[in-house]
Amino acid sequence: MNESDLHNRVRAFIFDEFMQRNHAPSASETAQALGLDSAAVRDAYRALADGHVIVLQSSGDILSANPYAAVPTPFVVETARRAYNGICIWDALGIVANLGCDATVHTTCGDCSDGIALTVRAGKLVQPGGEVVHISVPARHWWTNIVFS
Amino acid sequence: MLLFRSEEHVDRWCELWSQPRGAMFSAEQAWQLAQQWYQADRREAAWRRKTVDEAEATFAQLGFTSDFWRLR
Repeated sequence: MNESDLHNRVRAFIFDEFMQRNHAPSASETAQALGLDSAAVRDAYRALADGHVIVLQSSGDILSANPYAAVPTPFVVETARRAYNGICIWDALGIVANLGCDATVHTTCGDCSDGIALTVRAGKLVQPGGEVVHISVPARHWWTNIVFS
Repeated sequence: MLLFRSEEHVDRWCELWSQPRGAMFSAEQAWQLAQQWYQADRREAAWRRKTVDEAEATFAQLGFTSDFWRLR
């Protein structure tokens, strides 16, 4: 297996775990599931992080495989099967788009903390109110601190 | 990237946290952006991240054409 094939298999496994179980697999779990060498999988995780496909914690564990977050966040995506977390409103709606199912995003106003729910049904945002999305970091600087962005 | 009740709430947040007022758009535009960005199945072997040109084209398609959305 060449390096590209390895990275593709690891990427596919990571995203499948998030999509099916909302689970962030460790490198050793991925290695075991795919019958691969752990060191090679850890290298693949680093390569995927360098390519901005996933974000790693300092421990080497996955923080996010965008749009899916591995940790609790203020952006909860509720589907008929399970709940997911996104790092921001873009990613939370991205989870809905990626799964291709009906879902409701539960979050709060960044200013007043009032609860806001955005529902997507049959591919359409249902009765959006006057809510607005704001991002303060210009696009070319997003990956300087992707968690803040 | 946060969601706010209205523009007034954005202004209050920017002042409180000393953040510049950056880009602002509707929840519907955010949903369109989310679909453009994340609809593809990232498990597919052929999947790859958007190039800078493709990303800027996606932004432009949604009307995001200001300097804020430039990637270089």
